[in-house]
Amino acid sequence: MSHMTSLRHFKTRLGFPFRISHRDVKASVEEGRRGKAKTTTLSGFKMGQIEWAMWANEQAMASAGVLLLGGIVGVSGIFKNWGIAVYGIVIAVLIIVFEYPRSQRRKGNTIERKFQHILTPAVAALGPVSRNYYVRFALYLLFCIPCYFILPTVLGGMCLLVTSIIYFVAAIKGEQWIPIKKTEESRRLQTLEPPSRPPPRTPVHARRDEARAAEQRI
Amino acid sequence: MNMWRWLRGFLRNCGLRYSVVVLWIVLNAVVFTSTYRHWKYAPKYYYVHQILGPTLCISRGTAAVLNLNCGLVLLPMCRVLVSLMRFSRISRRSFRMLLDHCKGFHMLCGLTIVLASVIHFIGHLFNAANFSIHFNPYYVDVNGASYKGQDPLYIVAGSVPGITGLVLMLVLCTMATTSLYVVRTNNYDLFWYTHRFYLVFYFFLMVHAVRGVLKEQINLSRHSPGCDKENLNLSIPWPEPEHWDTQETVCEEPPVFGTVGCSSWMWVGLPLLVYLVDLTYRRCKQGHCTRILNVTEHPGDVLEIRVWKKGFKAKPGQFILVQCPAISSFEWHPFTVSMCPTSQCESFTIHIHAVGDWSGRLQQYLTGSEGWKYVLPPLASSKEDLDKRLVIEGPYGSPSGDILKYRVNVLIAGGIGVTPFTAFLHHLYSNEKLHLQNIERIYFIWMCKDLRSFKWFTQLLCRLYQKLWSLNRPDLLCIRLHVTAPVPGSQLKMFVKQYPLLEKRLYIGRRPDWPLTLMEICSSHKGTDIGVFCCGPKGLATNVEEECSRIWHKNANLFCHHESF
Repeated sequence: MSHMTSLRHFKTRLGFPFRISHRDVKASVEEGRRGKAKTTTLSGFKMGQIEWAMWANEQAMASAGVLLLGGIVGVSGIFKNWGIAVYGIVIAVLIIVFEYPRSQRRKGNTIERKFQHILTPAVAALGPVSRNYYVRFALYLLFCIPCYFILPTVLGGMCLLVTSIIYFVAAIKGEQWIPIKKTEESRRLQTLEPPSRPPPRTPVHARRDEARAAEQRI
Repeated sequence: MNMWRWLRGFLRNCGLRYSVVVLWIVLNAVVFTSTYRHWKYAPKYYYVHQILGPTLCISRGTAAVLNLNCGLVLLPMCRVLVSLMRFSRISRRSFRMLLDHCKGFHMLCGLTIVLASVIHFIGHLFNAANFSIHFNPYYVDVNGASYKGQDPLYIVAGSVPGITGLVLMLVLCTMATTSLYVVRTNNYDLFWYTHRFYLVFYFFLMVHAVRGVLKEQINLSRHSPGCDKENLNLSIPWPEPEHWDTQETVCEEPPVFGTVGCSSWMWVGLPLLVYLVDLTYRRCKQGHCTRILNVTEHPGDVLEIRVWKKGFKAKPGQFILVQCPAISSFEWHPFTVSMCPTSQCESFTIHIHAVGDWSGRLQQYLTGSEGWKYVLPPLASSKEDLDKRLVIEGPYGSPSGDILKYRVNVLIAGGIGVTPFTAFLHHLYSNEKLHLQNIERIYFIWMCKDLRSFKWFTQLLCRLYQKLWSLNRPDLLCIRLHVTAPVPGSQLKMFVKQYPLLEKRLYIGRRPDWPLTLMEICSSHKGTDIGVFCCGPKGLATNVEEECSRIWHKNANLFCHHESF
């Protein structure tokens, strides 16, 4: 992309701020048209850099909530095959515990859930089961199948299916679950040294004069 | 005394807003209770109530609440309507302050829709099970199940309300998870695209009750509900339903049942129509005759774009929605007009801070950076095609539209949030016919992390200051620039040498002390209504609003208008 290099060189010579007029932009387009730069067909439908795993995590928590509610309704005594409702409750609790610790974001600050530092080591200890999103996609796809056999857990199963699809997309994009490292807390725990001179403290210039006078005496 | 002062400030700044919320809660409660009582006591629902019990009334009550909120949730999003109401001559200051919180009301209605949907869904789970267990073999038409003991899953899956209900809940779950604060702030694109599912949601909502499972009796004049209960042997676990039919008992024929009609269109129809008309008007007014005249890069990844659009008129403080078709055909991003068109110059300026994906790509696209891998397709042959790089929608009003309606204005800006205020300063500078008698003082407090950020508007500040001196009003504008991070000495020297006027107005390494600053301003303007306008990060806006509600000093009233990003 030689025209891009020449324009960048032009920018760095002038420094900030500088003006790029309509002519310059048009010139770069003209050069592009002449084939000096690589061209790629524009796509009108383009989404930004989405972290799919973040959405999948929230969707998993919501699905677990729906499944838990459905399971509780299912064991209320009026539904047959209430064993599936019990299964739904167990799976929902497991998903909540598994998904509670958020992953470290690829860029930007990660907002931790409250007390997630307690569960993070346990989830991290699972190794590739927790790190790899293909595993989550497969697990949720399998877990949601029994939920379709009774009415109260059907919606939870559908939401879990959507979660598994989003995790599949996240896995394709190469995202991974990374435990959040505790760096800020260690910084906050630094103690300050107490002041070396107790009050009343003389001004700096007076202290300097004092020190010089003491040196001369010595 | 302090409690009284706090109450005065609270009522002044938040009173009307919370009154509307209380009114809305009361309205929801009235709708729920009246629908609940209607379904509990109306004689035409006797037989279906007999089968389903109290969960019938709960599910219908929440259905009415859902209908109400699905209608109300659309109204705050009618931008043209809200802008018209803001700028109409009959609107009062308190009403305009209320309009600043449209988005908050939209989120409140959204939250209520989610909660009501959950209760409605649970109610219908029990209804499906009760249809199966308490099948009425004597009056078969009233049943939702085909036979006693039918699996509730098949009752739901075999009906239009059942299928549409499951789809609605799934769409709602998707929209709700992407609307959460953590997802919305970090993946705004995702929130934007999934929120477009509202069209699917409203379509299924309209057809949700078509060929419904719930039945009402239609021959009440010939069959009083429960008139032959001695002959029927139905084991129902709850008491017999009461009804308020006081006419004499008639038992000429068995009951005849009909479907309960679909009533969602009555609640949602008008707001949806208003919203669609608003949306259509906005799409029609989108101008494609837009031309970029100039692009300037400023320190701190800020892009200044000077644009010309045919027939564009904006008032200071208004914002526009910008789309760049080359980057994305579906994304629209709001930016305040930092310098409005004047009688001498028809073009306007927007300042964009390239901090997200879209704005970063826009910066690379307009400046032709090396990392940008897209260039215009080779078929773009005419100048007009090259000029259609931005599509503009608007302008729309914002909370900053009330500046200069107060005698004393305090403009508090954080970072790029200065753009609404610079529009006003530019309006003061360029408008020859503006009467300054009504304005006593403008306090301009701008906080940035980097000293170089002030260069975005230093020329405007200096020129305005000199103009005010020439008009013998040097005390009209009081400028305070705060740099929150430490500044290298060489950088400070260079800045001061370039802009000597601003040297004594710079405060390095410290933020303003809001209680002190605001009380100092109140002391200088006793008994006056002071407009405090804040545009910046959410934390700043919240702090300033709290102090404005808390402080009441020397009879000066602080009215807080804030917008945050």
